Amino acid sequence: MIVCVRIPAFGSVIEERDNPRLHGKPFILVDPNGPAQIISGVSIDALSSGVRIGMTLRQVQAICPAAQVVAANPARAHRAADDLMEALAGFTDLVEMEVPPYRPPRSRRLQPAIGANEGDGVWFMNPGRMRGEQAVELANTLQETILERTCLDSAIGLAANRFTARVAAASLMPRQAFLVPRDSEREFLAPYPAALLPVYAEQMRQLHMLGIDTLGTLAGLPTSALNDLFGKQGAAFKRLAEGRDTTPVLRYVPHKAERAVQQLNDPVDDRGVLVNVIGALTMGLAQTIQERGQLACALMLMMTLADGGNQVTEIALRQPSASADHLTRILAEMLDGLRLNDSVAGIEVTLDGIVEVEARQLSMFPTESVPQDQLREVLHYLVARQGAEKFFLAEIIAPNALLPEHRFRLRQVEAA
Amino acid sequence: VYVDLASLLNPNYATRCGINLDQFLIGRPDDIAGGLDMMHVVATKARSGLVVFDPAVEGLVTPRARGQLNSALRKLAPLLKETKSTALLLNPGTKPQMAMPHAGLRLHVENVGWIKDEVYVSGLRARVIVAKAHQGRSGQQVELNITLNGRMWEVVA
Repeated sequence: MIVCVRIPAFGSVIEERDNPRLHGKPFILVDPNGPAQIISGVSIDALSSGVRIGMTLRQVQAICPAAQVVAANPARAHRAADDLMEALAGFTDLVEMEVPPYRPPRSRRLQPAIGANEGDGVWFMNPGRMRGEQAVELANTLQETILERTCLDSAIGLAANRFTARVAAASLMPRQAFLVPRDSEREFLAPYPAALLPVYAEQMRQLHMLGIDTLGTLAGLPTSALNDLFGKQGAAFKRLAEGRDTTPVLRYVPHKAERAVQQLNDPVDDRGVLVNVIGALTMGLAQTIQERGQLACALMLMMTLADGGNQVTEIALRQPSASADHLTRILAEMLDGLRLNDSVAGIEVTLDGIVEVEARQLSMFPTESVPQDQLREVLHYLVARQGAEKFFLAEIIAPNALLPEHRFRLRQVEAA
Repeated sequence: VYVDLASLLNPNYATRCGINLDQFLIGRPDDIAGGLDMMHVVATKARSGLVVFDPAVEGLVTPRARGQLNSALRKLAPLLKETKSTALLLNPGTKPQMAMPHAGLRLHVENVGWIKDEVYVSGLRARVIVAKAHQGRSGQQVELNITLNGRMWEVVA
């Protein structure tokens, strides 16, 4: 039995939960560190007006002029998604999150996953074989647990395979649950549109031109005809449309992170004081992971401002590290990159992606590297000749981001 | 130093190919002349270093620019011999137009076919031919699988 838990408009629901003045109002989320003018989350009220993730602000203004613009907080959504994952992992190890709900659709060419342009948060579970009554009971228990742990309402689809459970969950409103009886998957899927399949836009156009608009019509076609049209993918589409999805649910690997928070008695503006506080927090965290023989792969710095707002920045380290000095230096650079428009009332440092130390064979004959001072001299000369705006140093910020241009940042070299 | 004339370099891919970003400077000049100046400075001042000149788009290398390039390389070639620096020119076109007379080593990289992982392209099979070599024999060739996650391995020697 596969259980699909769906929370519609996950990012905006989290925002609404933590910010009650947004309740019942149409609003959109814009990621301050993401692409400008592109929205990354939509509230349920704005969704009903036709606003979707990936639209531009100008489009939103035309469709839903009353929509408020709110700065997205990906870290908060990330944490809520992790909390939910942990809650579900209490029932079974086989728990998997679909596309992280706070990210935009995977590709413009590929049809987005079901509900992806509405920001749905989706989790799959495989609790093993169970009878119908047991499954319905499990769905009710899950909904209560999710409500208790995260204060969120969820829709739950249950079926013998992933795709059918996903379609069932997508057709429900929050607080509802539906079990697709075994061996009736094909009949259940038949009336749903063929666009729910993971097809490219061009493939969807071909299906539409051939009059294949529903999953039922597609399931009725011979495999050879679909293979002629789409190659190997044709058979895969037919299997999904017939409710014979064999994709397994992956095992949950607990997320390892260490977090330290410091609330400041009086809001602070001074960079030196902030760096000292960050250094003290990092020292404690680094000592903890060093004692356990672990290293951190990523860092997150969150500053709570005096006006109640948050500024968050994350970075993936090139080499895992547990050195307090090294981590403090990186966090100080991250602090310089934040646009703080008010005094800081609280600081949170998170060492993320903690892994065990692995022994590594160093090269016995290291390649000759250019002396750093010599490079600096050349750089100084180049900058003097051509100007600092033409030279950049690259920095990897999110190696797993969906779009290649979001994975790195180019930093202009300093004129001095 | 990577002279990225068309601003198309992906540093994330570069790290996966083994580039150390701490010692990697990206230069984005306005035109070919600016790029040649960068190359000249690095190759002569750094004494030991690698400068990559990447026009990336064939259209950027106009006949006039090609003349400038050949002229700059004619002056640069003897200077490079006195240092440990290396200048690497990427020729985006199918014809070997640039830096022909001055290059110490010319490699011709040809895409033989795409490597597919079910329906997605995961890399390419490249044939590398030694078109010119001052030290060693030219005409040797090797076929490599270059995957898009940065790994490379030899298939046919």
